[in-house]
Amino acid sequence: MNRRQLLLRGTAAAALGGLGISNQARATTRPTKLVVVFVNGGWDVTMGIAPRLDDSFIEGPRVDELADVPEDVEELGVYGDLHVALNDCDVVRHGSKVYTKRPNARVFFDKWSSQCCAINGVWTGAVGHEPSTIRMCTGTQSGINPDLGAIVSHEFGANVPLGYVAIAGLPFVGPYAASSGQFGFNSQIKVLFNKAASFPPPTEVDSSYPLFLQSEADEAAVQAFLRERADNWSKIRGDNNLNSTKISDLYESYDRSASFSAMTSDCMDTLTLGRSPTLDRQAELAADFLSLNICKSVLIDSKGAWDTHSGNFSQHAFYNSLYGGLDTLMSSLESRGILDDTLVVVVSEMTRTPKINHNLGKDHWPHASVLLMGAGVRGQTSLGDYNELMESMKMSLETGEVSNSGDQLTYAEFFAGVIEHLDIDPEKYLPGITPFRGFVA
Amino acid sequence: MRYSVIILALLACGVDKDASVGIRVEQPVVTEALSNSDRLLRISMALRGVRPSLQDYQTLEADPTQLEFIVDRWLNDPLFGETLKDMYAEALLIRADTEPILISAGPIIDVPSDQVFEAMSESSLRLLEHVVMSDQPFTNIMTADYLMANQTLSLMYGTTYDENGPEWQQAEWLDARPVAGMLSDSALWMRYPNNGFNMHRGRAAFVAKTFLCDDFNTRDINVASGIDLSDEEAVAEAVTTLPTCIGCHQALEPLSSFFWGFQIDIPRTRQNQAYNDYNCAGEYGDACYPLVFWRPEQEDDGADFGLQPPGYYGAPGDRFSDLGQFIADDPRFASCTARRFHAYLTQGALLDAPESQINLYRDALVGSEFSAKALARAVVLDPSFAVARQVDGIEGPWPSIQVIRPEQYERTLYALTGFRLRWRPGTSYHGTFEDVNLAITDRFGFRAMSGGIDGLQVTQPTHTPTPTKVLFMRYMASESAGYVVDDWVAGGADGKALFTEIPQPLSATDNQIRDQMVNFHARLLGDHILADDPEIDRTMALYQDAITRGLSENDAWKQVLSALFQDPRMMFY
Repeated sequence: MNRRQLLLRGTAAAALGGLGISNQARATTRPTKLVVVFVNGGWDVTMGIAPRLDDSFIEGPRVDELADVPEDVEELGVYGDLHVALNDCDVVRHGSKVYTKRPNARVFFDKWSSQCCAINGVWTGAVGHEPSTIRMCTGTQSGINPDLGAIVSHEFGANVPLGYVAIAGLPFVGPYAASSGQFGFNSQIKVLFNKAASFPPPTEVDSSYPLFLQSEADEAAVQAFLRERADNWSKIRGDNNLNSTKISDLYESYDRSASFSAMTSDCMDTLTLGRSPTLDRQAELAADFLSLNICKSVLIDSKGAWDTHSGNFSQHAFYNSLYGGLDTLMSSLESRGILDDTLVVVVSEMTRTPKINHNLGKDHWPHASVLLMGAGVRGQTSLGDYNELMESMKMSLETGEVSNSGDQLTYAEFFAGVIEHLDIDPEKYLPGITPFRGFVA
Repeated sequence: MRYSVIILALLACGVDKDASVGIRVEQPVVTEALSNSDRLLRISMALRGVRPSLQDYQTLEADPTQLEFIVDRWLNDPLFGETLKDMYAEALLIRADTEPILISAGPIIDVPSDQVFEAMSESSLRLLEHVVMSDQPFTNIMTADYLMANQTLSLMYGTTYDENGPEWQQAEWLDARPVAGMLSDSALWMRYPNNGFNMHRGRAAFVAKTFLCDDFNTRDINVASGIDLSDEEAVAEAVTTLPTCIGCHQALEPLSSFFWGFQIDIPRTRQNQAYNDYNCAGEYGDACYPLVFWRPEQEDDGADFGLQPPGYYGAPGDRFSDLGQFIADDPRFASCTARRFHAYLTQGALLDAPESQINLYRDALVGSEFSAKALARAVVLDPSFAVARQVDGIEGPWPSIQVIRPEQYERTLYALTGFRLRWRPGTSYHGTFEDVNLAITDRFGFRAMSGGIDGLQVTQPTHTPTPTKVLFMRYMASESAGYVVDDWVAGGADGKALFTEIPQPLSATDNQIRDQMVNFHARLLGDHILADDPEIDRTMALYQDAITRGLSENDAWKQVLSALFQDPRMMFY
């Protein structure tokens, strides 16, 4: 059975039996849905899930405390074995500047710490954004390989309209592009789903869009024509190899674009053409799509200019927004009844140097932390660690306990562990890599 | 017979790829060759991004030996220059329009952001285009002593500019910077800023990857033993003493030292401060136009940080211009260029083609005194470029069907209909955008969503159909159809150029309609079939269905064209 047949079978089943096709055989702690929140630019985890408040070498968030503002205090939040940095100060006025600290952190962890596992000390193997992003998102050194969302889509997404949806940010789809869809930088997907969505042409152009608005019958006639043509083309150029793969992708894209369009038109109404959706809105859309079984994995973007080579203090505000968005995400997943089925991965390509530079910023640091939440995750747990120089410490890949006799946790073991937790054989994607299992409940 | 079938038995390096490790094995691969007309179509799309003319098809049918002459003509077509720019935009990642764009202020206060972006992103690409299309050695992209500038760019950078000359023209830097072709372009180094204490290492790694295919980033770094990356002295010592660092940095460090003199970056936020808060005074003056992005007095500053002097893989150098010459003289530049052309024109991966095949193309480049046209010619006329499908064996390194890129699709539809999907997004925090081509941009458009790259987050194109590509093509197809039929009805030139068989829209006979279908199949799709072919019947049925459902003749034609513009023969070539 090829991918097209699988998709068609799944689409028919969904049409007959409703949207939800749950895998009853799967253990209840195994997630079947995935949300990846990508923190683009490199977060400073010392003011997040790897708190460093009193280190002599590492310049953590206390360097930003304002002495003349008594309420601007960094605290260590302890939630079981989960340690996080907190600062309840909402708005700090210092001279003419206004700063926002991270009051949403306490709100978030008070509510969701039981779902949270922080993994610290993941070695990224690179210091540049692109190579680090590739490694952390694909578990490999090559951007032509699929990321977590694409793999979940490939493994679980045959019978949903679109396996993988990138609401914001852009995914690594590898060979599974035909099961993936992107909303674009400023919600431009809306135009493709709704041709009546208007946007003005340049001033010297007389006409206005759309120039040809087809009825449903018009579109159906064209689609039938195209499928016949594709059948013909397949006979001429199919080869049981690369050609056939591309032709199969065409069929799959026809099917998925049609079913995705049909199921998401209401959701699209909440997007504003020309505007990127907020993190809160992305979170709600992600929960909607997953709960309606429109897709199996979603990529959302944390927003914020996290690459703080200057003015590292701006990360406080980004964190505050991130925690607010994560709260919305978890609440949305819970209210739709899918939190127990969903794994949430909050990941950045790197963290930042332990020292503040001369521009009051922090540079790239080839170590990373990841926050995992949701289905089957050990809650209130911090695994791995950084040493006093902010270097990744060795740990047991089985338990996540720091151990001199352990191994260095790299992007590859982390990635293999996550896909194994998703009940996907990691050998298929990362042969020979030992999965990291410490976060599994 | 519609397709001439030639079975070729080729013994070549097939690729038996494991999902992640890419093991190569020698395997025989049996392939079927394209017909002459399909070969012409593939070559035209690859070189120019548009379909061949009917006359070209007819010329080749009458005399197949004319193929090389047609290819030579196309290599001198300005559309080949457009393809070259697309190719190197993908290598340089310079058309990253989702990045913050420099502000419209001072002498360019009335220039909209889309034009500011164009000035910055196109300069180095236009230099490359100019070098190739004026038959200069391709090495000149590394050594040319001029840049290509339009008026906006000249005001932004303070270069020479002749207001009576062409819009884009050769210009000179006025800040006495060493010249090294496109490497001297400020915009390139704003795209690759020198972050923090990186000491230009990122820029050096980019140059090695892009022009020598020597990618340092494919190797994991191992920072250990308490090296603080924000401590420049500690890093400088580590990269020359630690065994885990030396392997890469013995080459990277001297390469990086060539870049001293170029500034770190000029972000939009600093420009806003400079104009709004500091009146371009003092240290903020550099961020006002003309930008100060080269400081000759800083050319030797690397030594102050204990860094190594400039050098090129063991050979000592001096100024930035030496770097360009070193690259031009490096045999890896020729090989890497051959790989890049082959990969782009065949939609393969940069490193997938076997060395033996790349050597043939490299020899074509070097043997022609670095004619990029000769290189492209060698690639598209190679028998491996004419493979229709594999009959047996495992996947080979040559192209099978190719998938239309967003840039090609935009160009194809424009050539056929005169339509471009343009938007005036207006003013926001990010700038004022007056005229954006949605098919080939990403801030508001669909380039990455339809298989292209955005140059920032998506750095690898997708050469297969995807749901959003299908939706994008559906949208573009119906809008192009709507435009060109309306133009035809109004007596416009675009409509007349497409509807060659029907002089008057409302007076067409059935035979004229059928003849127009035959013409469309040939011009739009490369289907050279007769009027009684079942495929023409199918297209006629689509037209008749529309009429039967009550659509006007004009809308029935829009239906037909919206289908043909997104036909599988348009998606694939």
